[in-house]
Amino acid sequence: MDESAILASVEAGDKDAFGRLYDRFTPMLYSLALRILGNPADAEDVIQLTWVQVWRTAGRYEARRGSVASWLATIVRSRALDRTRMAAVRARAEAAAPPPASGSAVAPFEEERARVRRALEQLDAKQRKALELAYFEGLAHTEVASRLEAPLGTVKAWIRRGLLRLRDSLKGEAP
Amino acid sequence: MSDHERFLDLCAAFTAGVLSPEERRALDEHLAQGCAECEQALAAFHEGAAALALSAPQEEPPAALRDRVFAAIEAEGARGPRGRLLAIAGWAAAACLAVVVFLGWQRHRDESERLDVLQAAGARSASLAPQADFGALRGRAVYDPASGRAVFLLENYNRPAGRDYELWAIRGGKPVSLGVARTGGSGEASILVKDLGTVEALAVSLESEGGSKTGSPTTVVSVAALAG
Repeated sequence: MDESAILASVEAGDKDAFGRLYDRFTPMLYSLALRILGNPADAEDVIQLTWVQVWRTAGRYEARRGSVASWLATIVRSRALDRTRMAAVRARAEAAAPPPASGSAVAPFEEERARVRRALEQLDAKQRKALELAYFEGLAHTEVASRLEAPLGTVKAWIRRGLLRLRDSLKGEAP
Repeated sequence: MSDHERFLDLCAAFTAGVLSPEERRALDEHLAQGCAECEQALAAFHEGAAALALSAPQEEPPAALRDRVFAAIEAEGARGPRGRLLAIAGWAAAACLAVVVFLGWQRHRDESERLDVLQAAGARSASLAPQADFGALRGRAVYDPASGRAVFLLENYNRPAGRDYELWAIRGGKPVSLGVARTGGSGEASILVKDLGTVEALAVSLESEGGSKTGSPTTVVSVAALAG
């Protein structure tokens, strides 16, 4: 069953379909939340809130606007960044032990992940950093520019070209 | 740079989340006029951003999280037409509507309170760390200091014959009983506790049936520290 059809079932209240969706995307989404938040307790909360939101609003997904993965990642990222903006959470992240070392192979998206890694490696170091600062830390254009000591226009171009290149890497096209 | 190129830059910036409020307004106005090129570009940029998400170091989500999510879904109750009511804004605005979508549906009161605690902005969530010999117990305590309520989410808390689990709040270094936890057939429970006031920690103990006779926990099996 394709992802749009699964979402339609979820919208109709099908818990099995919801479970399939959860199992497929949670490793990726949890990793994203953990990367942004730095502590497992907050990452878990964000993932829970995201899935409750998906359960309620699955019908709002529109395939023409992007893949299910990008829709879900958008929600998780936005919620996670909201949390990092709360000072209390920052304090907790500092107090908490660092997340466990990576290394467990998570099956879904393994191939896509390898392609993304290769695409990122081919980017200029500053361009890669610009994307990471914007995406994972939620810095504004101007903040990214001053952090990297690069002109604003250059940062904008880096981000735009970088996103397109990453998109292409997912489609399996040579960057 | 042509005028329209500027909007494509803004689309990318929006996706990466680096748009200033003024830029956001400019892009909104442009999209409101209907621009197929920008819509297409937005979709492409979103895919690129999702690729970036895949570059995060991969971590296995805890198994208990799945149960927590399903418990929250169960608490949602029967599905209504609420999703439709909110299907007003564009897909790209989904994240911005996070607050709105939490409004306006009917829930059973207790379930609703439980969910309120789980979703409270200032809630502290801590794993109920099992003590020695009780490593199979899985659980989490979520405490909302603002309302003084907490939710215990238990898993694998199967009750030995003739025994009961009891919930405790630690306040000023002293345990206060929150009552006996009736876990389900597979040892699971989601228990709302009200009127807690300020607590430093929450704990679960194993007692004889009906709860502690001494007013203090007999065998502490797990503890969640909430201070700080």
